Amino acid sequence: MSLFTEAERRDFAGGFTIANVPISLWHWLDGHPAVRRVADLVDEDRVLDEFVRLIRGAERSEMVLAEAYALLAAMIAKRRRVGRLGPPPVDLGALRWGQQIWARARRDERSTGTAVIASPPPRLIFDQG
Amino acid sequence: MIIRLQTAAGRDIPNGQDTEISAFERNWSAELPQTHPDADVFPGLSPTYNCHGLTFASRRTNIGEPDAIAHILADDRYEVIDRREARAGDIIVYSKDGEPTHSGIVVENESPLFVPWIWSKWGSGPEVRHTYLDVHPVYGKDHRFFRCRV
Repeated sequence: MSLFTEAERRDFAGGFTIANVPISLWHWLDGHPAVRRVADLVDEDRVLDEFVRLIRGAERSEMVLAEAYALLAAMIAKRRRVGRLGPPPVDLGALRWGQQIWARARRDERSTGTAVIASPPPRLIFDQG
Repeated sequence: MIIRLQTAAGRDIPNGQDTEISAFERNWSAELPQTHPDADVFPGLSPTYNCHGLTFASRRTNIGEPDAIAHILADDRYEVIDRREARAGDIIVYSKDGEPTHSGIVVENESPLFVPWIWSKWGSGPEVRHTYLDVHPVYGKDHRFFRCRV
């Protein structure tokens, strides 16, 4: 049984449909109230079980894939709260952007520490508003 | 399929063309006029190109690597301009944490309000004419306007 409502799943699928790059999908999901709710209230094993059920299922629709990305964002949020992201708990190869999102989250985690070794790739500086 | 795409400096830009539009994409795109009533949503979907493909590659392909946009802007001598300076043909690049999430082409920006209208493509969905802040939240609100100096 899904951890999200039908309306939330549909909202995820809409964002997934028009996201052009992994970072925008992840950041949008990371700030989504439904993802935050799951990150706050559901234990990691339950989130992981649901994630695995989705990525190993036969259905590869936008609704399913977008929900899997939402669960991935919730897992990342939960792990960041307890301190260390570490390696992904499951193979993310079933999601086109899964590994990129996890790698980016780990990179962000490292860049907030005191011993940054690797240089980030070129980035643009943008203004707000 | 991949096409040869290079910046003015001869740097190869990774790209690829998708071939399918799903039923969900069709249905979701059909609802855009209701969810963005002030925008003009144009009929016809194409998986061949995305927003960056429209802005930088003449609708020929998808450009998905965030670093590629930074390379295009640098190699093709795009310079940041103020919103009020933006004219038809200039571009807007939206971003999240400094990484490009969306782009489009300025088509109109009239005084005295200087609220630029943008022509962009929303993922695999349609091309849309919209005001610069009327975009799906997945793209974020951070943005900059650029003019190509090549």
